[in-house]
Amino acid sequence: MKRALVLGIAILCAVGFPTAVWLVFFETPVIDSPELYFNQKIFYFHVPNSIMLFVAVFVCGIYSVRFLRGRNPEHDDVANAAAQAGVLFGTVMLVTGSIWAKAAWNKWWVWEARLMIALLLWMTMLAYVLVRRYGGPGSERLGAGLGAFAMINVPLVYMAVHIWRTQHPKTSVVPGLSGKMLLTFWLSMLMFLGLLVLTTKLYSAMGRASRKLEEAREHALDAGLL
Amino acid sequence: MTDSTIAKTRARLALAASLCAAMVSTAMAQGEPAAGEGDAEAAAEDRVAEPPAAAAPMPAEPPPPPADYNSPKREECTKEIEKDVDWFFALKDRYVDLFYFGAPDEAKAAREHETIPPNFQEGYASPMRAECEAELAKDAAWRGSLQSYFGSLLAYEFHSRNAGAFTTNKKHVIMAYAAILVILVIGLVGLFFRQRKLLDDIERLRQDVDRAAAE
Repeated sequence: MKRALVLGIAILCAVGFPTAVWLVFFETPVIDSPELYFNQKIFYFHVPNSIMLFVAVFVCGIYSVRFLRGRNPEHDDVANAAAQAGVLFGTVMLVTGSIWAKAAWNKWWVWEARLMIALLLWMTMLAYVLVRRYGGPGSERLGAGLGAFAMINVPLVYMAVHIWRTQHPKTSVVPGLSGKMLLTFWLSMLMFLGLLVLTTKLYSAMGRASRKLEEAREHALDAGLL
Repeated sequence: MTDSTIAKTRARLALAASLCAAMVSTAMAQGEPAAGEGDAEAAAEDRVAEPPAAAAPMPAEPPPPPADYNSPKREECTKEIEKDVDWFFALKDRYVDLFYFGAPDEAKAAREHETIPPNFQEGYASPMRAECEAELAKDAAWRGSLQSYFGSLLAYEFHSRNAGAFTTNKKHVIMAYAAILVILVIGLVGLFFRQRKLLDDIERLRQDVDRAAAE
């Protein structure tokens, strides 16, 4: 059942992504605004990636808290997988945002609140992944603490445009969409959600397999087989 | 370049030349020195030392227009300029070249979005050109206002050209989507190598267990 679901999502993504790109380039209208024009089309993949980063951070945070409470390694696997997916989506968010900034503001990066906090969130996820990979024994609990901390950062990233005076566009863009723009946006959201589920599942399965392998090796050593 | 553009350019050049000639003659009539005339005057001054011959009475020159001369024909002439497209462009060329002296290439490129005069009439050639040019030569304030008008027109054309270039520029969008693809491919390749390493580890463990079992 799970296998069929994963395969279904993979097929959906394989069909949906080219469709979304085609809609972005050929179907959605060009916004008549001095800051946007054709470059507005970056939005259709930039925003879903940002939201998937938030989702990944939340998944990582929730499973980290669950791991800290119950010490169930399965929860740690999911948290670790979500963190890796979060780094992937966060990288896409930062790169596409930076390219948009170059087009709209003629600067690759601006040191303003929204961008800084988003960068901090991505760096926290990267720190989680690095701690888990190179931290050695006990890094699970350290990573879980980082995951829980990152989760608190998400609302701050989202609200930054309202709390501080920033250059970044406000969160009122999505409610203002209509017609093909709205359709393209939600299709992209669905596709990236599918991709998030797939990558989290894959990373999680690999993490679990890796852990089980290590356990099997230890058992073999204990049994005097190795 | 199309035939119509060539014809239009030729017409403009011809008109500009005729207007220049008209202006020079107007200026001469007002007592301004034309090209080469200064040299003749200098030579005449050199000869001042010689005793003057019986000097012929000089014809009375028309007095120069006052600095604040306000042409009564301004409104009428403006209407004519707005109808006569060739004259309009000739005047624009004259003032724009002065105004945008430092950026002739941009000024030329902005012609793609050239604004036609508001009351443009096909094939209309104003009968008042010479008269209006003479008035224009006298009225400094009018020349100034024409200069700023054509300047603002060109600024608008510049803006239209830049906006057009920006609207049709797909560079950044393509760059962004290519970056997404590259990052996702890197992620997938990383996943593939990790999976291979895992399979190798499993295989190694299996071999170790098999070896131990055989011993």
